[in-house]
Amino acid sequence: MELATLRRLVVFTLIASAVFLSQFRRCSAQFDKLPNERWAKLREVERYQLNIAEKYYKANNWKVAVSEYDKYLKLYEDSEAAPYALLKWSRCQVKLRKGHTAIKEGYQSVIDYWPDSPEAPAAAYYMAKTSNDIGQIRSSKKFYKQVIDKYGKHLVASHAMSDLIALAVVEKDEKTQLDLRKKLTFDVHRSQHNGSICNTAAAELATYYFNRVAFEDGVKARATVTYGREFSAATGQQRIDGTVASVKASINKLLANTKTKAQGDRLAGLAIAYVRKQTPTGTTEEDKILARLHWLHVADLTITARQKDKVPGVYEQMLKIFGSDDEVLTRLAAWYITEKRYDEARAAYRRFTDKVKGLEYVAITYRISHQKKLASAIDAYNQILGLDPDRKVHWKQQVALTYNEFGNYLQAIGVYAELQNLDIENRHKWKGNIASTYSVAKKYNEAIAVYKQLIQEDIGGASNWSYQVAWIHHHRTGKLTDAISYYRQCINTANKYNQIADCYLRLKQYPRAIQQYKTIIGDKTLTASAPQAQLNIAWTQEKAGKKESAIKAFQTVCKNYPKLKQASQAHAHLQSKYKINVTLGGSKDE
Amino acid sequence: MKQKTVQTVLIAVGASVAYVVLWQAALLLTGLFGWYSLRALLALYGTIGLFVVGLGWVVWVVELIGQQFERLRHQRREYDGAVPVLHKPLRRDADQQQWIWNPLDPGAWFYGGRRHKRLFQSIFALSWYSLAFFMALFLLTQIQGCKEYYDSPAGGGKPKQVVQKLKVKKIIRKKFLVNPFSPFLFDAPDIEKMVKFNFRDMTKHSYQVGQGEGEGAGFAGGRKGGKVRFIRLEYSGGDWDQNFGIGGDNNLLDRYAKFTGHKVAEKTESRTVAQLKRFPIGRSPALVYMTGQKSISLSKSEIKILREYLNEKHGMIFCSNGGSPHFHNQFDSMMNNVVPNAVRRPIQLDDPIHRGLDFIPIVAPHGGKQALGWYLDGRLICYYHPGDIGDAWCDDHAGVKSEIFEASYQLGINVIFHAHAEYSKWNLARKKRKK
Repeated sequence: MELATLRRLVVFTLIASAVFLSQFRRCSAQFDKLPNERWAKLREVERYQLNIAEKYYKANNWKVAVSEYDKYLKLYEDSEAAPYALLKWSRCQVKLRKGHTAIKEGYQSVIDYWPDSPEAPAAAYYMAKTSNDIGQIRSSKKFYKQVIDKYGKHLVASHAMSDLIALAVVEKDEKTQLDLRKKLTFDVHRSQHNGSICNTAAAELATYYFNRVAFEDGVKARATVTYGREFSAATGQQRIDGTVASVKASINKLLANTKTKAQGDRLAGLAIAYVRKQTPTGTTEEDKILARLHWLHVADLTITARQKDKVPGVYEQMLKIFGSDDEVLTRLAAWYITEKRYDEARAAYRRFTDKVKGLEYVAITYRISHQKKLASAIDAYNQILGLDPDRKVHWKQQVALTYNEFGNYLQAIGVYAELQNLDIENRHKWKGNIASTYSVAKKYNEAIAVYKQLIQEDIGGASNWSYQVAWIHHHRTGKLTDAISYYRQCINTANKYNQIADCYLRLKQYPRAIQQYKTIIGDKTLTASAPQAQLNIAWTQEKAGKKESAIKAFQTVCKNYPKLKQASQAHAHLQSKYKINVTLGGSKDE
Repeated sequence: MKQKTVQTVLIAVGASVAYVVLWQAALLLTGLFGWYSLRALLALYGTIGLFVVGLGWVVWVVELIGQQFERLRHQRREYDGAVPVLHKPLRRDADQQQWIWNPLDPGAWFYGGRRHKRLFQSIFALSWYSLAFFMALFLLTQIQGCKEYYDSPAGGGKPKQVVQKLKVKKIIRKKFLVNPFSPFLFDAPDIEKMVKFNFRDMTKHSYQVGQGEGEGAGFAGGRKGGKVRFIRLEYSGGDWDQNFGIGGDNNLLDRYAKFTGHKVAEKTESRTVAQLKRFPIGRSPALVYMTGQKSISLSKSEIKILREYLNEKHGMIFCSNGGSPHFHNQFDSMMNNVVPNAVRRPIQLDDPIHRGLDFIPIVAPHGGKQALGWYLDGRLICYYHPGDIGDAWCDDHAGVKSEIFEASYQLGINVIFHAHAEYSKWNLARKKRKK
C-alpha cells in the first residue's frame, strides 16, 4: 500500500471514529441530561448534592457516584430530580457491571414510583438495553416492544426499534427487520436525536429493496434520508447520489453470484435509465454542472455493471459534451489501471489540461505498474522539471525516490547530494537520506561515516543520528560494543535500554543486560515499560542458565503485575517449562 | 522344520495378543493413577504399534496364501524352467482360460503386466489394510457402547449462599438495672406453647442448599443414589488434563460436598466429546468442564454432539483458560461453531451465579479480565473464566492469596450448583410435560 493511501486511510478512520463517538455521546447524553428548567426547580441543597454526584459521574468514578446518588435519594426522596438521580444511579450500576441490580432496583423503580416523570421512558428503554447487554434476550425483546407500544412517539422508541433490528439481524428474522425499518423510514419523525437511526434504517431498507430488484421501492426509501445538522430533506442531487451509492453495492452483490447475475444486469439497467432520465438537459451553468455529475454516475454504474466495452465510450461522450475535463480523464485512467491497460491509462493522463499533474500520474504508473520502467518514469519527471521549475526540490525528491525504488542507489544518492545544495534549510534531512540510502545499499561504512558527520553538524538531531549508527552496528555490522556506545549517546527511552540489553544478550553478558532492564524498572518515567522489563529479566536469567533466579523473576512478574498480559505469559511459562504451579500473583476483577 | 514354523507362528500370535492385553492394561492403570499425559502418549504410540503388528500379520498371510497359489499353479501346468510363472502371460489363467479375481492370488489380472505383480499386490494389501484399520479405529471411537447415566442427587433446597462467611461480631450484653418488685413481667409465656407453628417443615427447604422440594439437600429433578460429578471434556489438540484429579479439581468437588451437603463422586472424571452422546436426555451431565492452554480441535461430529448436549440435553460448559490468549481465541471460535445462534456477553458481577462474591478471582489474566457467558434464549449455556481458576483449586492454590483462592472455590461451587439447579428445573418441567 502506498504511503499516501495509508495516510488517507488513517485520516478517514480517525474522522469516522470521531463522528461515531460524537453520535454515541449525543445518543447517551440525550437521556442522561436534566434540563435547565428542572434544575431551576431544585432547592439549593438538592442542587449542591446532585452536582457532587454529577461530578463523579462525569469523571467515570462510578463507585463514588453511586453512593452520592444514593445519598441524594435518601435525603431528597420527594424532589423534582429524584427519578433522575435514580436513573443515573442505575447507569452507574451498569457501568459497575451490576446490570441485574440496575434493572430490579433502579430502572424498574423509576417506572413504578415515577411513571409520569420524563425519566420513565428512558428507564424503560435502558431496562431493555441492559437486559440485552446481560444476555437476557427474551426479556429484552419484551421490554423493547413495551417501550415501542407505550412511548411510541418518544425518542426512545426509535432507539428501541434500532436495537430490535440489530437483534433480528442476529436471529436472521427478516420480517421483523423489514417491519421495523419501514416504520423508522416512513413513520417516525426525524429530529436531531434520532435522525441518524432513521437514516440508517432508510438506507438499509433501500439496500433490501435493491437486492430484490425492487428499484422503485428502494428509491422511495432512499429519498427519505435527511442531510446536514438540521436533518433537512434531500435535494434532488443528494437523492441521486445516495441512490447510486446504495444501488452500486447491490449490483456488485448480485453480479458476484452466477445465479443472480441476470438480476444484477437488470438492476444496473434500471439504475442507469433512472439516472439518465433525471439528467438535466438545460443550457444554464447549473444544469451543466448537474448533468456532468449525472454522467459521472452513469459511468460509475457502467463500471459496476461490468460493461467493459461501454465504459470508455461513456467517458469519451462526456469529454465531447463537456469538453476536456481532468477529473473525467482521471476516472477513465483509473479504470484502465484496474483493467491493467496501462498504456491507455497513460494516454488518458497525457490528455490532461494540467500537464504537470498528468505527467506526475504518468510517472507514477511507471513506478507502480507491473511493467516498471525506470527510464520512462525519470523521463516523465524530467519533463515535469521543465514545466514546473518552482517545485524543483519536490520533483527532485521524487526522482531520488524512484531511483531508490528501482535499486539504483548511487544515482539516488547523487540526487540527494544535489538536493543538499538546492535546499539548504533541510540539508541535514537530505544528508540523512544519503546515509539511509547507503545503509539500504548495504554500504554500511559509508552510511556510518555520513551519520557521524551529521552528529557533528546537527546538534539538535544528534540523538537520532547516534541511534541510526548504533542500529547499523547492532543489526547489520554486528559490532555490538560500538552499538552500545552509540546507544548510550541517545536520549533515555525504554527502547534505548532494551536495545542495549539486546546487545549485551548477544555478547552473552547477562548481568549487564539485566542491569539495563533494572534501569527501566527503576526509572519512574518509564513505568509503562516496567512489566515487560521484569519479564525480560526472567528470560535473561533463563538464558544465563540461572534456573532459580529465573523462576523467582517470573514469579515477581505474576506478583507485581497480576492484571497484565506479562503475568499471563510468566504464569504459563512457569507451568509449562518448570512444572511450577506456585506462580504467586492473583487479582480481582471488580 | 514344519513343527518349528508352527512354533514360531504360535509365539508370534501369543506376542501379538500379549501386546494388545498389556497395552490396554497400561492404559487402564495410567488412567487409575491419574497419569493422563502418559496415558495419552501410550494411547497414541500403542495405536501406531498395533498398526505395525497388524501390518506384519497382513504381509505374512498374503505372502503365505500367495505362495500357496503359486504352488498350485506349478502343479497344474508345466514350468519351463526359463521363465518364472509370474512372467508368463498372466491376464488370463492359461489352464482355465478365465480371469483371476482373487486378490490374494498374485496372478490376479488387476495386478497388471508380468513384472511387479508382487509389488502391486503389496501396495494393494497395504492400502486395504490401512483403510480397514482406520475405518475400524473411526468406528470404535464413534461407537457409543452402553448407555451411561448421570443423575443429580435427589432432594430439595434453596439456592442460598453456599459458602458461609464468618464475621466476628462484638456482642454487648444488655443489663437491666431494675427493681425486682417493679411492675415488669420477666417470666414471659412461651410463645411456641401459645401458637403452634411447624417451623421445621415450613422452613425445611430454606436451610438446605438445592433446588425444589425433596428430602435432604439435593435437587428435586435428581434421582435417589445420584451424585454430583465433575466431568471434564477430553479434546484433541491441547492439554485438556491440566490440574486434573487428586490435588487438582478434586479439591473443588470436596469443597462442593462440604458446603452443600450434596452427595458427590469420589473423584473427578473425564469423557471424550464423543462419549457425551452416550448420556440420554434427562440423565446427562448438567455441567462439563474444559481447560487448557493450547489448541482445541473438534471434528464435525464432535461439534454436533456438543451442540446437541447444549441445546437438547440442556447441558452447560464451564471453561477456564489455562494459560494463553490463543486458548481464548480457540474457545471463542469453538463456541461460534457449536452454537452460532448464542450471544456472548460479559457476565455481570451481580448475576445469581456470582452469589456471595464481591469480585471475580483471577489467577493470571490469560484471556482478559472479564468472565464471559454464552446465552441461548436467556439461558447461560457456558461460563468462561479468563484467568485460570483451575490453578487456584490445586493443593498449593498457585500461591495466590487466600482471598483469591477461597473466592475461586466459591465461584466453582456456584457454577456447579447453578448448572445442576437449572438442569433440575428443566428436568422437572420436562417430566411434567411428558405426563
